[in-house]
Amino acid sequence: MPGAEAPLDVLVVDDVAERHGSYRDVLAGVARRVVAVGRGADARQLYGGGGFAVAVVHLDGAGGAPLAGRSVAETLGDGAGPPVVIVSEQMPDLGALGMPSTGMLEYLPASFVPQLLASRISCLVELKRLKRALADRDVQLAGLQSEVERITDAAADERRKSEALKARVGEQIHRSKNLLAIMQSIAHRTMTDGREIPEARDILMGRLRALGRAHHLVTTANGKGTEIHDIVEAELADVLHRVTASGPRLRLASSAVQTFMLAVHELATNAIKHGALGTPEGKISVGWTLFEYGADRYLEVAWSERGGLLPDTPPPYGFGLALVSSFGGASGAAPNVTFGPDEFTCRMRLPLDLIVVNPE
Amino acid sequence: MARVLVVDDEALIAMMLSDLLAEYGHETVGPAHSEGQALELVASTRIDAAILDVTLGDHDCFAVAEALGQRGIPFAFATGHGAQSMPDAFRACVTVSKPFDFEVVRRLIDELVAPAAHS
Repeated sequence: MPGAEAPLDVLVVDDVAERHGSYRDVLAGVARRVVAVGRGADARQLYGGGGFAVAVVHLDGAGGAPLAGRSVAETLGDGAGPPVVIVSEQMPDLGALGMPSTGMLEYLPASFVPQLLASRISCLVELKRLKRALADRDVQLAGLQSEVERITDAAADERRKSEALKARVGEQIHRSKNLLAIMQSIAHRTMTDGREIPEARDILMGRLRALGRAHHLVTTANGKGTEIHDIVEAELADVLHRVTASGPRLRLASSAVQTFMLAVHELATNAIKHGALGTPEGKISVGWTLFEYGADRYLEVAWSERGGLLPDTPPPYGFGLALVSSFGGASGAAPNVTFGPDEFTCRMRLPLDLIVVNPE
Repeated sequence: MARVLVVDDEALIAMMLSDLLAEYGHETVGPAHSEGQALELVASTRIDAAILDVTLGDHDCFAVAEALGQRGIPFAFATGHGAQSMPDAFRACVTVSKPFDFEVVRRLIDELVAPAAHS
């Protein structure tokens, strides 16, 4: 038996000291060391910490009568020690002995001790070895299992990250192509108005710069929309001291920011060329209001210039008005342009679905 | 002259398509910048053909495409994504990629409005 190859120390607990010698003889071929003690404190101490492979406990006291009222548990403690072979003339009720049912308990009739004790001991030692190996394997299995779970989780996490990255890259490509199409549109409009190339170049550069400002705002807004106030301020940064901007805090959807920024750019360019920004005393006011008349709901943006206007100030026809008109989209609400004495106003309507609700 | 619905949430891109349509002798319906606007126009206006931007803000244009399909109105998609990113139901549809090749757009419009021109 494999267990017999390991050095084997056996603890014998027997009140009858005369029997200690015969145990030694019986176990001589099996055990490396046999320690025989009577019941009591010595036995308890050796059982718990003596490093024995097996304890053999003889229950029958002197004169052959079992020791009444003294359980094996009393002698051996809580059963945390090595397996136990109970030796007795009569088969005891093993449950009544008070030993925890560890399965590490064997009974041997006293008359068969010499023949069977050695093999019983080997069995118990092997059983204990197997139990320990099983327990070790369970621990290893549990460790392996948690490692597998950890790796599975990590793989799923990686997959999620890479899918999110793929989606972001796809979104970026889509945005870039859209932006190129927008630049194409601006260039197309700028180059086909029958302008001389140097003039067209200056106008194109101005529009692309405005597009760049809008793009910056859209990018930093991170999909939450951009405040109308911020768009107006960004576009009119050079002339802010002459501008009054007022209206409720509203955010425009990113698709509208570029168009609105360009519309403001066109109005401002026009104002520099022909309007209030062409003279030192001119002022600009930009106001926006939500209108709701029953089913008719829209955002109105009013651009007004006062002071310094040339009497024959032309409104920003062409690209500027086309842009502003495009906001009306299908509803076809063209911007309303009015002239007064030394005053120019352009009112444009933006559909409410361009406003970002609950940006947080 | 055919009536062509233009759907794009970028006003500038819609404007360019309108310009091209006008240049080729057609009339723009819209442009619509949202799914809702587009569906309203499909339901209420005579449309001979349509060019649809695939992405409309947080939405897409596939409900519009279905509505057009039910009415037998020819349409094409304009997209910054590749044709391979289209859902199966529309993968066989004509797509034109952004930024536009004007010559491709012109031929596309010719093809789309051909049935209307013959009727």
